[in-house]
Amino acid sequence: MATSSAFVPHAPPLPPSRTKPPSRRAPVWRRLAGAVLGLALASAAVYAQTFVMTADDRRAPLTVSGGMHGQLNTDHFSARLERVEFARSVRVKSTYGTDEATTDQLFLIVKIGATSPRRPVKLVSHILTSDGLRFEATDHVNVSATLGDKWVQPGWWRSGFYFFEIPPDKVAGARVVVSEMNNTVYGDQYAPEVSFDLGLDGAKARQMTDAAKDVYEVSG
Amino acid sequence: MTSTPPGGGPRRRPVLIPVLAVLAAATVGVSAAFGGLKDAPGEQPEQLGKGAEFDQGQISTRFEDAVVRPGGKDGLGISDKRYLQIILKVTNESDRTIEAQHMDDALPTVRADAKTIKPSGIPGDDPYIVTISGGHTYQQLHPGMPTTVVMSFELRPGQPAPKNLQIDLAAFEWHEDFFSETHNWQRLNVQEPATGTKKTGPILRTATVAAQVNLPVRVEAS
Repeated sequence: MATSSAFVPHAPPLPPSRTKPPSRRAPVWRRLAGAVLGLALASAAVYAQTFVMTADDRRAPLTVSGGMHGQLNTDHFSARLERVEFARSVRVKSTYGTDEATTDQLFLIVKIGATSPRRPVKLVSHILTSDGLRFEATDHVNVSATLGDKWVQPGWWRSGFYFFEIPPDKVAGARVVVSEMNNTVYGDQYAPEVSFDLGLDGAKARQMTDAAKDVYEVSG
Repeated sequence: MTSTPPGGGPRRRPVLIPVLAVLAAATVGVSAAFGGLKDAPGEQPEQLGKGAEFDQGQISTRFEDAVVRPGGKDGLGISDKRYLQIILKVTNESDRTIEAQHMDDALPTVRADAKTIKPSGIPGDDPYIVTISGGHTYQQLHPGMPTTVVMSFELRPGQPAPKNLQIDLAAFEWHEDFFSETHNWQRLNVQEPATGTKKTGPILRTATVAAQVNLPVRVEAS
């Protein structure tokens, strides 16, 4: 209001406060509760640090997990585990001859089906045992007999094998992991991977490794 | 102390100088007796023989044999050439598959009758390192699976077979990267020379010698 200050009466002085100024000291139970709450928050903050991922975990690929026959999708490819078998040797038949692959251990053979949503990819595979050991696909079997050598293209599924050498006692609880062929230096740092549980517990694993074929024939 | 105090009094014998002289002589004598002021020679690495197994951290290596033989056996080499082959049994103690070529770093130096044959100093003249199984050569060392690894050196025609090999063994440690805090196996190397010494060319890191193996060389008839 733009009136002259002469017309505005002075505000009467505030009546003296009746209440005493509040005591600076909170009651004992509140101070105690505050201390307990503070301690609890501090310890919760410290405890929360145990959930922080290690640097090694942060750099690990993004994993989609599943089991037998289920289709697992990532942004770069989709895959399914179609078959798991064991053999003592692998015979690769090609146009001009056969190649016999042998091992002191056992061959674990997985059949993987895969397709890709956008662009052709090549997929590689490794085994992760229950105690955290990582077995790359074996070089005893020529890569030309495996899916690792083939382009997986958008629009249709294609299936192929991966061959691993594995000690029979490491089979129980193992998983097979499929990922895009990637350069560790300048490749995609957050490349996705899919991880299939082979579904082999102790008894099932022993039964299947005991029933391993002597010769497994594939063409390549 | 040795100067004559002004005024009277008996003249003191000069003791400090003779004592210092004796001490200096003793110091020189003791130093000379213990090998002078040169750097003490480094601690001799552990010496191993044929059949010994040594834990190098990432891998564990047993030294089975050293043999000169013509090529052709186990899919190694060609039959009209002779090769010096170091036969190892390597167990990969890490948690993932590695390549046999890794033994190139694990055994940095090989001397044949005191002449260094690895590194040979000639680019491209590196030994051929493979695993053997069922008459074929491969590359992989899977975790926990003892695998036969052969390191072969081609001998020139007429070159006499060496009598003895001395092999330096490196060790590996589970190393945490300072910046990324990620871990990987890394070879233990001798500390770099002090900063300020400018060197051109690639930085050659020399492995710390964790142990040495002496292998007698067998000659197999062709």
